[in-house]
Amino acid sequence: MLIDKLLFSNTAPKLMKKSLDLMSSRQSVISSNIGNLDTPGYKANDIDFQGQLRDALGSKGQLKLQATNEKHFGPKSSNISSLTARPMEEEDAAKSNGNNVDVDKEMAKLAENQIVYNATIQLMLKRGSTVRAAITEQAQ
Amino acid sequence: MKDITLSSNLKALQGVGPSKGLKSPGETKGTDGPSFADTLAQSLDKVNTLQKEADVAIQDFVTGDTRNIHETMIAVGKADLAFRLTMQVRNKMVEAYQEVMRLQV
Repeated sequence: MLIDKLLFSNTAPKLMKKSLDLMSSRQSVISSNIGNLDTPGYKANDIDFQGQLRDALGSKGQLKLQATNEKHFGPKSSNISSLTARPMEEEDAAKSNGNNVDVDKEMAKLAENQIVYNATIQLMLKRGSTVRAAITEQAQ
Repeated sequence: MKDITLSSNLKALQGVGPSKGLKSPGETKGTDGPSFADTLAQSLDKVNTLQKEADVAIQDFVTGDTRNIHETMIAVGKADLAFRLTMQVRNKMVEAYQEVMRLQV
């Protein structure tokens, strides 16, 4: 559908949607880190969603391939939609009970994640409102 | 980023007004500046470019290539405003056309 194409299947909207998905997974990972602050032997996890998105786009090195058609070589937009959250253990030194959660760090990550999430939502809304303006022919 | 105002867009649209061609009502040469159609096409092109730039800004923001939210927001806001302005100009044009078509001769 056209609306789908405008709002969800070009690269930028697809990226935004995926990053929101990953950020919400990251939020719960961080929350569970904080919740397990005192659990013996617990290892903190984190999701590098930006790295994952960059990998999916193939923009890791200097040379970028642009795939503007499904038949092109290079990064495919289906790469983005098939991304799943990949939590990785953090490598901080463990305390005496084998737990390596750093509260300050987790709180900072929580705040950062929240800000970026809200900003991405705002960006999506803004893009949506442009399309809405085009449909209603009214620049309100 | 260059200028974040729409003044460049507005300047481009000023060619429409009666500034150049109608300065001296006696003469009727008036075809030295860019035509209205050219100006319009140029503005449309500009709007398209702005939207593409906004998409690139979004991509950079989401993949963490840039960490500043404001620049992304400004790029998207700029594209949005430019689009709305162009759309309003189109609306006025269609309105004027319909007005002329309604005239009884």
